[in-house]
Amino acid sequence: MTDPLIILQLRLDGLAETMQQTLLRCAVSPVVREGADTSCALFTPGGELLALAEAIPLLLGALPGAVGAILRDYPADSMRPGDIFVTNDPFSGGTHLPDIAVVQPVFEGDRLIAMTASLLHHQDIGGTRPGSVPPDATEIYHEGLRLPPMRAGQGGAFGREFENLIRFASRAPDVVVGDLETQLAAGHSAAIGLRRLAADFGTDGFLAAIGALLDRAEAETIDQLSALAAGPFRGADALDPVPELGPCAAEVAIRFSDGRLIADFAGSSPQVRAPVNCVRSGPLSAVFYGLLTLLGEAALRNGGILRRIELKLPEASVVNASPPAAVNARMNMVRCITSAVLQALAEADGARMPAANSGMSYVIAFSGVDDDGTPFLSTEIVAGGAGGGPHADGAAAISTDVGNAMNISAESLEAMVPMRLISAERRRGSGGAGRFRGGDGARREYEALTDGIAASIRGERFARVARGARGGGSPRGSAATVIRKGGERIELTARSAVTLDRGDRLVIESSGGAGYGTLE
Amino acid sequence: MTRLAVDFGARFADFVAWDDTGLRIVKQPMSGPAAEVLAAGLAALALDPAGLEEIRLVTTAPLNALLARRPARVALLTTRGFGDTLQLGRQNRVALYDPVARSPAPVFLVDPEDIHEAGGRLDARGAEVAPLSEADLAAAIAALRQRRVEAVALCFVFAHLNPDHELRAAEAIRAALPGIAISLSHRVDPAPREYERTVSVLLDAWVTATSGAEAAALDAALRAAGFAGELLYGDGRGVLVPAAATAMQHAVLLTGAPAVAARAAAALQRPAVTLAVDIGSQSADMSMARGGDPVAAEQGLIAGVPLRLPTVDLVSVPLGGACGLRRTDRGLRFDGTGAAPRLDDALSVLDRVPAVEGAAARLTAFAGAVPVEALSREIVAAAADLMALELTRYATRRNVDPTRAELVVMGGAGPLLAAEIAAAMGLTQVTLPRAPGASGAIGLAEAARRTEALERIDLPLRDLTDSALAARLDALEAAAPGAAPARYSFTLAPLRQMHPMALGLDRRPVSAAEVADTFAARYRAAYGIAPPGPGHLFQIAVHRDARAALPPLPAAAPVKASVNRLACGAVAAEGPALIGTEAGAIWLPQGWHLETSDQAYLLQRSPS
Repeated sequence: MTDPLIILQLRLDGLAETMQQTLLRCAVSPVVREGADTSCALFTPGGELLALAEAIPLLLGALPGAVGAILRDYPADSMRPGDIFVTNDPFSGGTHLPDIAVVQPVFEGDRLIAMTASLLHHQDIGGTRPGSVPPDATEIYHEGLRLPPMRAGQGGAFGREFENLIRFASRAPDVVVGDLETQLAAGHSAAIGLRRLAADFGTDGFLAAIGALLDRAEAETIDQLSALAAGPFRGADALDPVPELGPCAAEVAIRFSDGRLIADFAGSSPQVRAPVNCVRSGPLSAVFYGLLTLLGEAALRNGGILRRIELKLPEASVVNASPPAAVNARMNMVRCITSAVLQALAEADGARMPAANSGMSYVIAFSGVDDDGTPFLSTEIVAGGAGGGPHADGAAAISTDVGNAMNISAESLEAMVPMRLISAERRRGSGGAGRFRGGDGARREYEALTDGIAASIRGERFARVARGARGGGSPRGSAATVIRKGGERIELTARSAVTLDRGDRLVIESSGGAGYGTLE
Repeated sequence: MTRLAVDFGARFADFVAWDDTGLRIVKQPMSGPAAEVLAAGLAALALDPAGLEEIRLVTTAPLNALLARRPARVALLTTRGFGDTLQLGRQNRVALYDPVARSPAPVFLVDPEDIHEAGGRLDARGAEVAPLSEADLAAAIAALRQRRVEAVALCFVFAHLNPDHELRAAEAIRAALPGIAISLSHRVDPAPREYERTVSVLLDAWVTATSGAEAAALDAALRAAGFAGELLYGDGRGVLVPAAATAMQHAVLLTGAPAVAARAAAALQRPAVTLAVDIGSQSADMSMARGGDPVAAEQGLIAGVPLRLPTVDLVSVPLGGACGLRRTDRGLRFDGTGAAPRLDDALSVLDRVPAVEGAAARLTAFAGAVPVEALSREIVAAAADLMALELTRYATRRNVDPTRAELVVMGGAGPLLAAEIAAAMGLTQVTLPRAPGASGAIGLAEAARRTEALERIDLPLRDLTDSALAARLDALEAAAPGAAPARYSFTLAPLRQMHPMALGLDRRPVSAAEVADTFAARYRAAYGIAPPGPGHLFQIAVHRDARAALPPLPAAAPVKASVNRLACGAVAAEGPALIGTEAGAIWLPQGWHLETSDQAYLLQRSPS
């Protein structure tokens, strides 16, 4: 316990967590304040991951890529105290356009000692539909403002040109600028702590210690991976079929060699003209998450582990899209990749693995103008069920694997948008049967309180559901239904945009998790 | 006039009585109901209840029950369509990298069969959209009667904006079931977000169901014995509030005992940040202090349950003398049950506590081929290592370097492990307050009596005129009378939809602009940016803390002790030795020595 490197990692983790809590506490937009769709981390001056907040694993792979892209255009020796760098470019390490990475170098005297980084899902960054997640996008140009790695501010504040760029592009400029400022606040809080650490260790001592910390994590990863069979271990999963789109499948073969995890995604589908593609950060998040579950609780979670990951990604594929692919609805593809990765890892070391989870989350955005003429926009994430087993039934409607977003309460939602949440319930019986049942999905029923509310719905697992494990059953698929005021029922597809008028109801049902083991 | 502070623990009740002549401490075994233990303690102190001016109480019973996840006969009545709110939680999970997703929602607080829904709805402004369903209410009351529920929690959507439905339901329940305890969400936790408010009100009902009867019996016994003074409870903020106030909010009592112990540690007024742990028989409660006061939080996670009430920033973990052992792939843990050996068993084998009945048999059954003494050393080392790890996590999560903080250890079991915990953290010294085994009762005796009043508001700060502010402050000051200086607290957010924060002021603001400017300055100091909005006001509160100094303890005279007789032999300054104190014993390992002062014992690693 007296190991100073473990204490240092805990202190760095604490700083990353301080950043995360600052974002959640000070965020202006509901998707962050209520849904926690944000992530923070610290990096070494060389751009290696130093510490992670307990946030959304879906974003694990994005910050290393974004920091790397910024360092390629702005080398560390060109950075100055107070500089602020941003990017949201999926093809420069990012995820999708609403996720803007803010990176700030931290100096002690004139020495760069670390970088703080945060990624936050912004309310609206332009594009064809409010919320910047258009379900009908076919190219990234439909999805909003694309920010290459750039210096967005100096002296600890965003520049006027950058702020104007955001204000001119966004439908919710005050909210987006407010949340960008919150990202600066998160960096501010961590920078104070980092400088204190550097003072404790001495600058040279601190830099040496963080180097040793990453080396330790790498060595421990090598030890653990070397004990596993070489493989290959395979996994595969796919999105719901859409006839005009072609297959959207992820395939992975995982091998362990020389203390490395090599994930080869050969065989995954070519990219499609729909926003379901994901970029490199997606498979990196999935594999990093899978490796962290494999390494267990005691692992030092830093870039030393990332050094032992090698990705082989087919170009212009749904798992590694090339411009101008649309990517805004990437989340369910990342879930699909994660499902494949976890299947493969379960083959390698499966005793702790439950049955497959729902493999989906809904992202739902409501926008419009209320009766007072005030524009509104709100985004929420609705999870499915967890897989059953290996020792208990699966949890209902819970964020699983790379997800950890929170739901939005009726009292928060209704204070922001003219919708009423009629009910928020467990979707009983939707989990797969088995010795240990899969967790049920969620059922949420909304009623529109004004005319002309635009609802953007991105879901998955409407047709193709998770398979049970060891004889367990499959869950019920997702469903989304509009019930017009007059009684007409409209069944929606996985990616739908619909307008709701006063009295119309929207029913969202997420898929359950798969069952585990045969019923006795 | 004499005053009395009593800290009811799981195995002992600690009594501190004081008046102009001095201060006395008595420990009394928890050999029966609290009323009987109180009577025994009073007898031991030769005190007549009729002669007492004031009695101050805290109890660890509800916290221990919460740690043990003890079921209680509690029901929940909520809005139709929201009966699953507790189970669904906020959709997040407790351990990100555990492949099995587990919800942090405290579903054990109520049996699913005891959750009832009632039609009726309020909107986001608190206006009634649909009336409360009398038929649903009648059906719920029938179920409460049939299931013999002791306490019912009411949480209707938007009740924090309009309590009408909750009040009408409570009236109907009270009329039909006069003995049932009722907790109302708009009183316990009048803030938005139905899941968090449901947890708060259920916790309140659960505390009532687990501890309410005993508290009522205690009060009745005292009154029957002629006690005519004031009965005060220590609450989760570590201050004293009248018993009548706690009747409105039982959940505040949950953390009263660890909060007053935190206050005892803070009272040492060390220049560095103080990292404190109070290790009793069932739990270890961690806290932090700066500048003589415990660090406070606007909400906490108590025994894994989110508590949205102002409290000392506490974390409780299951580690104490009576905690059972469990061997895991990560080493020994102290959350075992049944026939598992306990930490006290190991301490008794090592002669740090008196012999414990059945200890040898439990340890032998657990040990396998390992000699019992070696196993006991392993257990004590594991307890110290685990506590060191938890303290390190607690500190680093709060951006404090644990190796630069001053460690304070208290409680019955804490002083027996203190040096080993310090060593495991890489520290060379650790402080124990005087009478470390009765630190909760000492903290309770030192705690301030709080008089408070608050007004809930929902108003943009720029709409608050200076005259309206002055009128509101005048009314609040009058409602919280006393000679102590008033302190002011404004609950604000930059924008209405953002999370509110508390702004504390030591002097009365003369204008709304002063409030806004101070809020902006504090926000900028904390986060390095200007607040993104002009400010929205949710609450104004005024409080006064009246605190009287305790008479000093007699000069410290620690003595070398044997486990069966804690007051024999000469003063021992060098380890290894068991040192007796005014309350509890200290284990001084080899290579450590002890220094004493008026306030504390200091254990230091001896120069090699």
